[in-house]
Amino acid sequence: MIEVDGVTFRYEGSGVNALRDVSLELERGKIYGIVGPNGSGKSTLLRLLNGLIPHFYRGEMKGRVLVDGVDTREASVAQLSRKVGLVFQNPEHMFFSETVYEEVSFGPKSIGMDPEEIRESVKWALEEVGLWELRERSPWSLSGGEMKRLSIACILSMKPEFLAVDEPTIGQDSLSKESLSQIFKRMRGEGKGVVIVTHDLEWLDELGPDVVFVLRYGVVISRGGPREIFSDIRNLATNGLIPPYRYIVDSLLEVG
Amino acid sequence: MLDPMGMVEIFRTQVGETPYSKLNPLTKFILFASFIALPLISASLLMQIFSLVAQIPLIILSRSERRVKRSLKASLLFIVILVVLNYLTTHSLEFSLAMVLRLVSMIIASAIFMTGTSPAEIGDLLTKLRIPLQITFSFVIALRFIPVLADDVVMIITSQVSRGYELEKGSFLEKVKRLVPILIPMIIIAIRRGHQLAEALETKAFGATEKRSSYVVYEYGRGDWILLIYAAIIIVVGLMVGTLTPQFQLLPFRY
Repeated sequence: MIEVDGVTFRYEGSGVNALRDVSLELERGKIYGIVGPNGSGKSTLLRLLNGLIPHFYRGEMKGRVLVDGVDTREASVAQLSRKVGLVFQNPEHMFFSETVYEEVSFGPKSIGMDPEEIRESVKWALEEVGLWELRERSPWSLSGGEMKRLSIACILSMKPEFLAVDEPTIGQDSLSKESLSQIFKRMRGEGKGVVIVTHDLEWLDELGPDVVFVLRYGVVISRGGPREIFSDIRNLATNGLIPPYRYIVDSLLEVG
Repeated sequence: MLDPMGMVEIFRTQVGETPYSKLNPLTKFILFASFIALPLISASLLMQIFSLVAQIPLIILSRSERRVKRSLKASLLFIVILVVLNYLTTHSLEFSLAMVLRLVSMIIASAIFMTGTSPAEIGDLLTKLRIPLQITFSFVIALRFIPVLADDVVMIITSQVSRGYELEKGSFLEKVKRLVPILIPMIIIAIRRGHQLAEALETKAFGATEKRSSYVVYEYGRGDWILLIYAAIIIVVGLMVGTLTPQFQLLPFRY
């Protein structure tokens, strides 16, 4: 379980707190959606989960984050990467290998897996995202959707218990979005916790998250099941978020 | 101690509304050039202290205290290396300190200039100085892209660290080798950005005419004149300080 306990964080050189007294609990086998307008602290929250904050990003942090009871301050990002895998928004930032296969094996090698285990987990990760057939291709020759799935495979191959994903649907077509949904649902089925930061509420609604958090100015302003959160159209709209289409229709019908 | 991102901060232009940023770019450039030249007039410690103190009004006017502090903090390792090397070669602590203060003065002058001057202003300034557009534009673009690439590097490092990669492991040589997963994506992203930029410039008809027109008119206000006079006084006083104080023998260890 991941426990974020009263965390306030301000980046070095910034005058405002990116997060303010945020507390939440994330469990295995569930999908969590984190939504909010730009600058609301969503990405900062993700960086907290795998220890990039406070190990890499400098700033002032109050409160604590516990991953399976371990304070992220007391474990390195490398150690935490076995528990929480963070998938970044832009997959291009991580690719440097000649082939897809080598790229996916980088993480397992970094955390010191056995050779046999590496082969097994790379194959499993590539099959999970449907890229096993493309394993000999260069990561740079892939399409945008394939690159996104490859970046997820790169993290999955380390077998983390939690998968934290930053804006997975940006620049993705509807087919790619659908295959991302399938991957995340399978992860949930396999007992992993999935944390997704997104603006794309339509897609998030189709994915069917268990809990949704709404962030604004670094504060969790509301939390609850998707129906409860998405049907509060006024709350979403005032936070610059477009509610899922079916909830807008429901609301119009109610008014009508 | 080593903070490469902090060093990049020196080149990150970040124009806020300050009395300094409202000055004519030429004034800002003259002030910058004066404060780069001032510590070079003489190698005396007094001269370097004078150069530092003379910049205080500009730090206040440009509200760049935070950036100056960060730039100096980032350069701390180089400052220490400089003191040690100077002391080992000259055996003069005073000379070593003077050389470090000279470097610090120049870092502060650069930090102030970059805090209050946008790349566009620097471009206009260079054009006014009749430097060919190709050179001006390349320079401005380079300046403009330093922070963009710096942000990319941060994202690349955090991506690889999140994959369990440890940059700080092993000996110095191993650490250099461990930079490969950072450098390759950085080079590829930089080339891609360059290509996109070239396409964007083509679509905006860059280079269609020999002489580009400009609608921005920079005027001289009272602040400009006051600071130009200040720069002149500083240089004159600096020259006097340079001649009054006993000179160091530059590189005395050779004698």
